Amino acid sequence: MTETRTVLIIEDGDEYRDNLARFVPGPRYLQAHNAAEALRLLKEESVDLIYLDMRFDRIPRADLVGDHARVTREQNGDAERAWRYMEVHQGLFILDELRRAGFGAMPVILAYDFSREEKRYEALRALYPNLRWVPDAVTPAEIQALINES
Amino acid sequence: MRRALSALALALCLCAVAAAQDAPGLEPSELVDDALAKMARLRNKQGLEFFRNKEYPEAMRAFREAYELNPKDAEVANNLAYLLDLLGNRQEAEEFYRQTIENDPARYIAYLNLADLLGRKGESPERLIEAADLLARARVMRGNAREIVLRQARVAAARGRFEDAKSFYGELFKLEEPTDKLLLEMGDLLRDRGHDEEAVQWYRRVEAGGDWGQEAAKKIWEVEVEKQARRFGWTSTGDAIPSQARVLATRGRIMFQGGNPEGAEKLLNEAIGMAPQFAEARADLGDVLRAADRSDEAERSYLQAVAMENSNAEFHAKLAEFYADREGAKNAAMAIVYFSRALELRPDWAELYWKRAHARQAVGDIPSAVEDVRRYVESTVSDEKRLDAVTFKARLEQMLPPGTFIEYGDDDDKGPIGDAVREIRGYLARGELDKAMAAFAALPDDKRDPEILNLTARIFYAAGRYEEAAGVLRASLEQKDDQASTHVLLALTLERAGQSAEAESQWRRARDLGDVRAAVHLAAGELASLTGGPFADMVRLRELSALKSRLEDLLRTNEPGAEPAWDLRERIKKRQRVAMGLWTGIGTALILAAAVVWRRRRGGAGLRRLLETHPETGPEIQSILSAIRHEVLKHNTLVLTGLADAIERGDPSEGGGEKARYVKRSLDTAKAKLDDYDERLTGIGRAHGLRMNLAERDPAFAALRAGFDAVAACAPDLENVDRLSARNRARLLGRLRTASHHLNVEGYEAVRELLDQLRVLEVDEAMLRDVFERTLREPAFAGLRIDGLVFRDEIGLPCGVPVPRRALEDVLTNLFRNALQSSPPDGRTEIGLTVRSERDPITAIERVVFFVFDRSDKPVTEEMIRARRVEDGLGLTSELVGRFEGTIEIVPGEGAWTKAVAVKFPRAGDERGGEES
Repeated sequence: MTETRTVLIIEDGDEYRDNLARFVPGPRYLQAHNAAEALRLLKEESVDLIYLDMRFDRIPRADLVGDHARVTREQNGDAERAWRYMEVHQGLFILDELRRAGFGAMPVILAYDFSREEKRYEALRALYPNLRWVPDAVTPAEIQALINES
Repeated sequence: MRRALSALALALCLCAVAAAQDAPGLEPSELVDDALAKMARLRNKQGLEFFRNKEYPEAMRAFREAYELNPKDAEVANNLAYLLDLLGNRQEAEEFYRQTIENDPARYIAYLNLADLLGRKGESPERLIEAADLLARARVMRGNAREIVLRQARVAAARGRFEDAKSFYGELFKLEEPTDKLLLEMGDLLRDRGHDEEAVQWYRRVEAGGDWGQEAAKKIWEVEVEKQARRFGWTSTGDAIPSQARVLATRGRIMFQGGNPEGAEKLLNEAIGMAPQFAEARADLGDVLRAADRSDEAERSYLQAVAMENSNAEFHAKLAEFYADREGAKNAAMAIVYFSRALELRPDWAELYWKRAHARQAVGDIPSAVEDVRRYVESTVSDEKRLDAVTFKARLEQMLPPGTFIEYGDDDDKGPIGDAVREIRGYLARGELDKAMAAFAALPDDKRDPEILNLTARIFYAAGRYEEAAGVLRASLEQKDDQASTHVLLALTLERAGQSAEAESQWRRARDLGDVRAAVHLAAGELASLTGGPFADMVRLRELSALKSRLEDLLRTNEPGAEPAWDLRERIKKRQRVAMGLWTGIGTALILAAAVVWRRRRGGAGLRRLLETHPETGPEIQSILSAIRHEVLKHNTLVLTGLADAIERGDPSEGGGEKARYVKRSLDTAKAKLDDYDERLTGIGRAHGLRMNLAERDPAFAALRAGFDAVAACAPDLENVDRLSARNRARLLGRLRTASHHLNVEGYEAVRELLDQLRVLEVDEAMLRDVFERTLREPAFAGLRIDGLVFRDEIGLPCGVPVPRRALEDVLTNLFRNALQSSPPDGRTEIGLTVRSERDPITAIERVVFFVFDRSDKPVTEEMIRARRVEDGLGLTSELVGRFEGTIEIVPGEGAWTKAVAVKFPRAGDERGGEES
């Protein structure tokens, strides 16, 4: 008999929660829409796995994590561009936030296709040893397998 | 002279004094008067002698001396007046006549003479009345003397008192048998009053073989001519014109030209009053009246001028122009008649051909009009007029010509009354319709065969009297029905009379009789009836072709009258060409429309072409493709595969129906997003001048569309998946797998491939050095002492950056230029270029960094660069760098370098960092 696992889905919408609940049944799914909610749940719940989205462009910018000033400097001084950068890569900013909060070793499935960016993935694995990823085109069976592995 | 007469008188006085001594009872003065009277008589007698011998100057001298000797001598005064009158000095003559009557109120001959002077035609009414009074007094003195009654008749005639004149002539002819001359005079009186028939009776009484016989015959002929002329509106004849009348007319003409028509009219009327036969004055008066729009009066005046001087071409031309200016076929026909007459008299007046051509055009006689224009062109005219004429002729030739002209005979002189026919034809040919009609009227009824009737009809036709013409033509056809040309003329006449239906019947009869003109005319009518324009012709090509064939058959006959068929045939050809052109145009338009539809459906560009032609769109396209991956593909891959797996397992507990409806909603939402991204990408293409057709020309979008189409095809099944039969569930499963393949495999891979293939520039050392060398060759740096580029490769070039070559070269060129310009001018110039990479600590994205070192001591901050405050061009460079997700910043120098400008771009290729997910 398999123990029911708890998966914390961190995404800006509800798609992963709805989809996984329907097509990858079994685990208990929790949901957070931003880093703060995720940290709260991680502290409150016994989470076995984090299912993390990369792009967060549907939440208030105030909920985004990351040093906007620093990013602005790195983005040629363009504040708007910096916001977009933080939205597009928010999954990694959240991961950084979790790491700094002491959850850097949590198993994480990142919904991002690193198949063309192996060196980048390796760099991230150096920071997050339990980081896995799923491509955009993924089947329920593949997700199920990854959950089971994590 | 007078001194001689005084000396003579003195001598006579002396003689008289001497004589008085021998003659008791006479005073000396009486003796002198008596002597002078005797001498005057003597001189008068001499004057009479001279007069009889027609030695008028001597006679005048003698009468004047006689009058000087004895002014009281009535006979002398009368003789002097008579001679003066004879010699044209009417004013002095009148004085001496009056002196005569004063001297001798019983001298009735003086009454007659003064009456003759005052009672002439054209004199003022007052003078005519005085003449009548003088004669009345003479008649009291002498009774019903022939010479008095005759004068009374003539004065009454001059006064316009026709009945009085007629009465006086009646009295006269009771006194004596009228002479031939008086018979003519009586006839003239009646003729002048319009009593032509009575006039002719008087003329006929003149002895044919006598002195006046020929004159009478001429007048009878003239009456007949005028009789016919009046049927068409004109009249006749003339005499010598007094110089005074000519003076008045000349003055009147000048006055008219000077803009005083009222004064001109008055003077011309005076001239005419003075000389009623003054044709020129009447023509001039016609001009004045015509200018005043008093058409009826003008016409009458012109007609009178023409009638009086029928050989005056100018009068005919004026009358012709008068008619030509008026509207209506009848007037045009009249104009043709008079132009023709004028041209007969003056064939050298080329301008009249031009005018007659227009008149002929107005009556529809196009062939004759063309001929007139041809003659006009042949004459010496200016180039401008010639051009007008040629243009007009061309226009005429385009007009419908068949059967619209009159043929004046065909030189067949073998008729039953050949001479009469020739004569009538001659008149017709000269446009002398009145004479033609008179000649016709002179023919006995039994000789009015069809040929004569046809000629008569032509006269009526030419005069615009179509009803009468038609009547005569019908009479002709009753006698002989197989006259094709008569049917043609009747058809023309009936058309003019507005009887189109019967005209059509006549045209057909003429055609059936073999008349080519009729056949051409009917063909023209048939062609004209094919209305509706080119579009209607498109469906009538067969009809047009048949009509053209008929016309070609007519042309092959080479018969007169077939010529207009050439023009008709050309018009048909033109219409056929236009109709065929339209068919061709429509065909071409359909092909073009099909091509447009095909191009819209199959043409256009995909994203690959957009990126190739406009690499600067790369970042934006990349951003949208990433969004598509995220919003369109990511979740739907999962749900579609999950649904398919559930259906395949066939387990109702899977909640297939709810899942199916959920999947459908998800895909509907995804499809709406795809439509939105399609529109945004199409807009980007449009902004760069490319018409995008992603669904057809882009592999990624084509696959995605195919996937969504496959989902749409199974939408009903998705709504009722729980109730589907096994077979239908299998079909649904197949469709879902197909859709999944399109979206998750083909579409996803295509999008990823596109992202991979977004322009990646391979950068190596040679390329970087080449940019530096080119910068050095710029004119601004000519003469600069350059030690070269200190290059350091710390990453192991080559490497890839997602920046178009041109953009990267521009960025680096500006960095080099900035470094060169900011280097100290007095030292050696050395620039450093180092290539490194760095990785973001959070996102782990790797960036390639190009450091351009210099030794400038000018302070430059990043804010200055980004705020575009740097004059050396880095502001624009910053913008360019930013466009490709790059960064520009100032970093401190290393070693001898005082500072560096660092430009960073995401590293592409194997390490494809920075792709938005």
